[in-house]
Amino acid sequence: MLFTDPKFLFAFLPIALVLFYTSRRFAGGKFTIWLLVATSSVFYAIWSVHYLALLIGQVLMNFAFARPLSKSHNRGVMWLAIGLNLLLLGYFKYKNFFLENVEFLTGWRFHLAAIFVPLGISFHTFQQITFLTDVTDDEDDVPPLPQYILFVMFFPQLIAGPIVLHPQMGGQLESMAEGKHPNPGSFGPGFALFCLGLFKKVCLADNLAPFVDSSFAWPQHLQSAEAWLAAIGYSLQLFFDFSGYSDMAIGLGLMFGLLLPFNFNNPLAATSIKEYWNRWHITMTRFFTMYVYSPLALAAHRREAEHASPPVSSFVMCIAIPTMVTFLAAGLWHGAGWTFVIFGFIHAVALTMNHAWGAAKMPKLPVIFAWLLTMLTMLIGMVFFRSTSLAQAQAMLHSMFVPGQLALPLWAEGFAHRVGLPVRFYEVFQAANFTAHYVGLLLLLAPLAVLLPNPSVAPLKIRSNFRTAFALAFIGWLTFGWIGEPRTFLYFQF
Amino acid sequence: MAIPSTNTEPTTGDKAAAEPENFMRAWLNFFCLKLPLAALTVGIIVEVLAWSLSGVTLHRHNVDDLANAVEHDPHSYKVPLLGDSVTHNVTNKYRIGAPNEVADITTHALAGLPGSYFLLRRYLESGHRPQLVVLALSRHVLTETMDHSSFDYYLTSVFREPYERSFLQANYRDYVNYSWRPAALSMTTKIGEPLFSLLRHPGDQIWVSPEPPAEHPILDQIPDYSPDPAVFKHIVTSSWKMRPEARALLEGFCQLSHDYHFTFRIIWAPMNPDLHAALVSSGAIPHLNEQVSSILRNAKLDATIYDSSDEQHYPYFDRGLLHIRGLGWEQTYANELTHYIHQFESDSGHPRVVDPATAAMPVGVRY
Repeated sequence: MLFTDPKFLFAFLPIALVLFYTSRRFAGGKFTIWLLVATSSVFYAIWSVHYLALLIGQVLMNFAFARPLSKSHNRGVMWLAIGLNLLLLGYFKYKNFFLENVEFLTGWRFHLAAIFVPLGISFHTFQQITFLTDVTDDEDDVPPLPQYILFVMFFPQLIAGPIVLHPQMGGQLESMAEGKHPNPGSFGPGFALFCLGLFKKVCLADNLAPFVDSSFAWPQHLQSAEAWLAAIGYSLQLFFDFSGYSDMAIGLGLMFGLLLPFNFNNPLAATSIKEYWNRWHITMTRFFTMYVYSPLALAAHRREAEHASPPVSSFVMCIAIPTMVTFLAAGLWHGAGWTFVIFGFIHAVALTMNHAWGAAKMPKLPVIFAWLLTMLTMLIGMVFFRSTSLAQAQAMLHSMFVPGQLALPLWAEGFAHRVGLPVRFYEVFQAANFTAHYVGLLLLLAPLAVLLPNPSVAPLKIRSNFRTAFALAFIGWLTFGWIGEPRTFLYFQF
Repeated sequence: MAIPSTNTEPTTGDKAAAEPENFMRAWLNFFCLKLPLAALTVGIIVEVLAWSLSGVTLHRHNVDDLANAVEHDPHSYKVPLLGDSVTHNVTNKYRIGAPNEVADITTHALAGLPGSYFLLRRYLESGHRPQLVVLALSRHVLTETMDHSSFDYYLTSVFREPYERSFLQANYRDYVNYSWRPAALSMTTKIGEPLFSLLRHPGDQIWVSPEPPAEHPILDQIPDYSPDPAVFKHIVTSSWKMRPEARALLEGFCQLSHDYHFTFRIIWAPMNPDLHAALVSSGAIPHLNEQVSSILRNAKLDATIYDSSDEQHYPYFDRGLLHIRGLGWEQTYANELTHYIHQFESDSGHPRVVDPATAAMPVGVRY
């Protein structure tokens, strides 16, 4: 069930809210926790009952590991538990990809049946790995079972994040279990944020989909302008889609009294790749920073300090290699495919160069140039991210970077004759009205991506004034006018 | 990489921390008073705006432009040419017939047969009296279901006369919804599109390309051309049964032919030769021809259907195997249409009658 689905908006959510607030008032905190567990289970079961059983099994397994780990701090047991989680993730998400590559390298043949990937498995598996690690390192306590289940399965963040660390939720869940309000009055701001997210998804991201889909379907036939606009269009679509989803998740969390961490902070305004990753999918970045990059970099630092290596060697060992490993892993986390590996590689190279530039104390680039360079890197990465094969990505990049002779579309023939330019068949911009619609939309959305307020950073500061009311009323009318043909969230596949 | 420092701890609003009671009361006031008032105000403003723009003639796309132009064009064309995008792509570039002889009322499959029917009817009801009406279209217009997502954009919102609404309601019940809904839920349609139409106001005349096709065009050769086998297979295995609503529309054309005393002719637009041959041998084309012919016969009209693929070999099509590729080939089709119309007018030749029985011969063998 999608958050944009009328069944969710007009049936599931209102019922869940009524039950939640009734329970909190009359039945106490502990019952409310169980009620949210049940609500979240129903939410997941509507998608697949079988995989709900798998999810609950995984949650119980991790809880069973966590209790002894919190006492023994045995790293061997921790690695065993993490290994089992990764095995599960690997089986569902990477088995076929791995075997396809073995087939390619060895010529062996396997029977590769399609595997139905459990919804949100990457998100909740990583969330549980962080918990196991923190418990082993004595940085976190093991909560009671219902609170742990809710930490993993709380439906607003279950299938596409944000990836929550237990310390961010544990206190709130404890407070809720004691019958207190962890964030008093959070329903209003939550509702406002949810509406904003819904608007971003339904009105902004989905409107770009027809243009982006038709462009990426035949990248080899695109004119250069079409290819560039398609890459920009996809970047905007993904941003509004995923940040919209994250806003909805945070908004829903608040409507149920729980504050989830924010995931986006104007990433398309970033003027360096380093800054971009501090603003884009922040909770994932944090996971990889804390649990992959930092341990690798720290170990390398210690080793380099012992050997007193020269600066270049130290930079390679302490920054370049950990960055490369982290981003290749992050790329693979997004999907089992070489396009995602290349996506990670591009960002790893860019980030390493970014660090090297700083380490070499090079002069700062002019802001506009730095922004353009950052966006260019991001766009190239997005081409791989969106493409279903390396050949498709290559064709798109070819159309972008190897422009043919400047020519106008057939519908602009009259103007072309006047200015002395040839005309050519444009694959996507065949019709004037389609072109006007999408170019207009891109011109509107590009500044919006940078200028639209981002209340998810501090949602409880949203004010209950008439300005908010009119803004909500306007986007609410617009959004409900567009609802009817819901699409999947782009990030569900990860 | 650095951990975003602002995101490690949940942020609590100052106001919420300091005065939770006031904070909750303010939000209660927001939901009970401010938000409903704002929603009502926005709804009323949009409703008034929509009402003031309701009289604006829409000019969003070529179907809008044509729907307006067919009623106001002062020319008296002998032949209105109707059809889908296969024909439109050609007539948009090259004039068919002599100047002021043929009115180009071709559209595309998204407006489909209902679009062609309504345009013709508007043209006739505004006082035009043509001698010949030609419907040059691909067969799939009669066999495929209409696209749901664009039905309103190209049909329901364009053709709003009472008889058009009742026809759509009767034949496309699943596609139309005429019940009232607040204008605020359709801001794009009720506000955005009329405003766009005010900015873009084309003439009130049917646009006809001024450029005639070359008499002997240079026929393009595309050496690396090969049809996509998946597309080919998809077309061959699709259903080729005529849709009931297409039957109703063809009967409507026949009725108009009687009411306004013009000759009605159907032309099958060019088709990939291999595809044509496959569909003939599978019996799909002969069966469809027979169905169309029987509608014409039942209406006591001449049941002749001209198949342009029988007369001319068109080797290159787009990836969907639908639209002709190559300017030379497009001009060839334009010449074929002109020739057909002139032949009819001068009555010096007889258009080829497609006999379902003879059509079974694979077309490829003739070339």
